[in-house]
Amino acid sequence: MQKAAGEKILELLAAQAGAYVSGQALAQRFKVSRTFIWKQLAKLRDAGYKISSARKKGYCLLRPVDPLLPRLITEHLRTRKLGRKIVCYPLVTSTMDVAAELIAKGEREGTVVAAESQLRGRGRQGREWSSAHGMGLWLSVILEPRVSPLLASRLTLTAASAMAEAVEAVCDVSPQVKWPNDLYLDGRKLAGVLTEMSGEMDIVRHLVLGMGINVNSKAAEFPSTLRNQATSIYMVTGRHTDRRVLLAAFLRYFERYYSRLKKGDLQGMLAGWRQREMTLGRKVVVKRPRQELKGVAVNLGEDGALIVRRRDGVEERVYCGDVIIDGERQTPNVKRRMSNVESRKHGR
Amino acid sequence: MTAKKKVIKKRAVKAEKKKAGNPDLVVVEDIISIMDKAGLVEIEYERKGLFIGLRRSEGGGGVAPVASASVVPVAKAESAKQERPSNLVPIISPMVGTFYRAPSPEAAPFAEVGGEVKPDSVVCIVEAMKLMNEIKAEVNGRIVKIFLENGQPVEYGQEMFLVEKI
Repeated sequence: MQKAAGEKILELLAAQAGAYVSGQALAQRFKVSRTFIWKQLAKLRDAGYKISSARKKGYCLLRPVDPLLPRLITEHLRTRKLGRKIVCYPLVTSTMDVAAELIAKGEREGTVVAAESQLRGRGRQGREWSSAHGMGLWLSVILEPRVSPLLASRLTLTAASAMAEAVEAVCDVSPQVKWPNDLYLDGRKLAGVLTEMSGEMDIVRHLVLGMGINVNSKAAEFPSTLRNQATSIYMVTGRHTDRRVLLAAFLRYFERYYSRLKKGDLQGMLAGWRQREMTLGRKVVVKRPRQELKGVAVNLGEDGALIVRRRDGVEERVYCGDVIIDGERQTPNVKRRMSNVESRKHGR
Repeated sequence: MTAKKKVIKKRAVKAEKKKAGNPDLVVVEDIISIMDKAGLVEIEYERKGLFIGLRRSEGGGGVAPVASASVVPVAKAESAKQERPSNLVPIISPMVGTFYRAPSPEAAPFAEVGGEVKPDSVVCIVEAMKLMNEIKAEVNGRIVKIFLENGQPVEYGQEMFLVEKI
């Protein structure tokens, strides 16, 4: 049981649901020495798992209570292809990097890379993404869509929509979608999607879909720079969500849309999207590297573009840029952020 | 606009009767000639599941064309190819989006003029709707020209780099 030893011990501890297991019982169960068990537990702790040890009682997994382990995720899976192979890591630089390495080694469609924690989780253009240990889902899905790059750019929308539905089904709250790839709950960012692919002119062979969602994070676990812009399902509902159930639900909804997308059918997804889109009907500023566009977001195009009507009545199709809802804070300084927290408190 | 569409429709039907080969292409050709005559910058045409949207790139201010507007830029690339020595090959964009020369604003560019590239060297990223498309050089060579600046919009089929094959 050399290599997967840690994983097996973790599985067993997770199955105890907060109860203690003695070191001796573990040693007997896996037919190894207690010293070996002790070393493995030390490794798990180094990897970020909070495991308490008590004299005469043994060991207990405190956090996360729902460790991401392939066998425990597969139990909940209802998909045909996606997630049928899952690789889980306690800590990676980024699941996107791991997925890219796997593709280089010949990994095929459907494989999911999940991590409890990321050193350098990333967003668009190298922006920071905070991924605290065991508190969210940080994952990448390897896809071989074999569609034109024009269709592939709609995958990001599809993934965001699928996650919104999964959250609704599992957690009983309804996130809003902000074009093109963010999920918001109570006006703060809950999740983001990033898709990376290697360019080919006619057909997309490999593509990595990255998803980050704050599930059980508490406010204090966010870096201070993100604290007032980010939220988690726990922070809104006050309930703990089993990330493995949420992951399985996401893969199920996403697979359904994905197989339709491959046939060019976006209708179902777009209908759901329009219902959840928070920018529609609102004044927006589209920040692009070289020019800004101001107007009202009026619709979503069949191709996923955000249609913005300028003041002169001309409608522009937006494919790129950051959409800022007029009145939303952009890069607030510390003072403004503080005052915002105050006004929120008074508002409730 | 509806009156114009009717004219186009009539012409399209006529053209289709003439050529049974590729009716859609004939419609596109017709529309382009109408745009030329009338000096139109943008036109949309829809009929029985066929949607054609064309927009001239000049003065578009970075506005992306609709998905099926590939005909115009491709034709442009072809005419440019004729005047060019065969050892110079362009790297063209596979999609509408934003052109990025570096993985993040602080990072060094993927490629510089004079820099050597291998077939699997990443030269830039084209982004559309948060899909980051890493574009590879696909040839052994040296970058001789970069047509775009970081953050500029790019269209389907537009040339981004010129590479001298080695």
